[in-house]
Amino acid sequence: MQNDTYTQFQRIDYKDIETLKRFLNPHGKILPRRRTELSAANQRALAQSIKRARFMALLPYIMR
Amino acid sequence: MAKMSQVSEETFTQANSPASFDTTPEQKDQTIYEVGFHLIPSLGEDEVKIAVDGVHSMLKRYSAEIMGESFPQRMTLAYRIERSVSSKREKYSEAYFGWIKFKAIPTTVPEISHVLQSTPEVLRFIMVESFPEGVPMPRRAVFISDRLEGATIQKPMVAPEKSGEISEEDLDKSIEALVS
Repeated sequence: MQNDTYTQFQRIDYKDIETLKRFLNPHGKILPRRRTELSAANQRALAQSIKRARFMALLPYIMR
Repeated sequence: MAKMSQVSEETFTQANSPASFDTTPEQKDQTIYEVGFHLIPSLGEDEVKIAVDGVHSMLKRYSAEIMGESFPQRMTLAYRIERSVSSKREKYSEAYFGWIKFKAIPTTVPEISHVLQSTPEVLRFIMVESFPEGVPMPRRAVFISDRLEGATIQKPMVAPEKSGEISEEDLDKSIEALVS
């Protein structure tokens, strides 16, 4: 029964820089939810991953 | 360089010896963690391997089970990382980035973090709670209310409109009335 609640969804990872870059604007800011069209939970996970990637210098805090 | 790697091995072996760590590891109490780390770029290939082996042995001392890893690769950092070592400012714009996924008891994680923090080769690290490989993301369960169980609610039936026969004269009159 529990397996029914599982579906093939990719997890957001702080190391997946190419994916995370798609959710940044040219200044390096996180795009709002109205632009990303993610659910609230996924938007929170995305923000968390981007902040982790920034801390690890995988992504810049600001661009340009 | 060789001196630096020796220092790191000593750090891994001496710092936080597991003498204070008395808890018995149980499979059910273990959580999956992932540590991502940057090693300083001045290390050679062999020294990187020694540093990674040091992290491995340190994790094993804390009864951590290694589940996966990525060997450190040299990369350009998105911004310059600065740190002060013995009143000297060091600036790095490149580093070796790697990660190790492991299963450990949550109480040992602060100690593991402390050891990594005191390792001179580790420029920066991040410890996050992770997930097993190959397990898809769980979706929120949807529960159906019991109130909706039973007979299906039917759409209310609407009587079909009857098409009456209208003569052309009546039709013209009604059109004129609308126009005027």
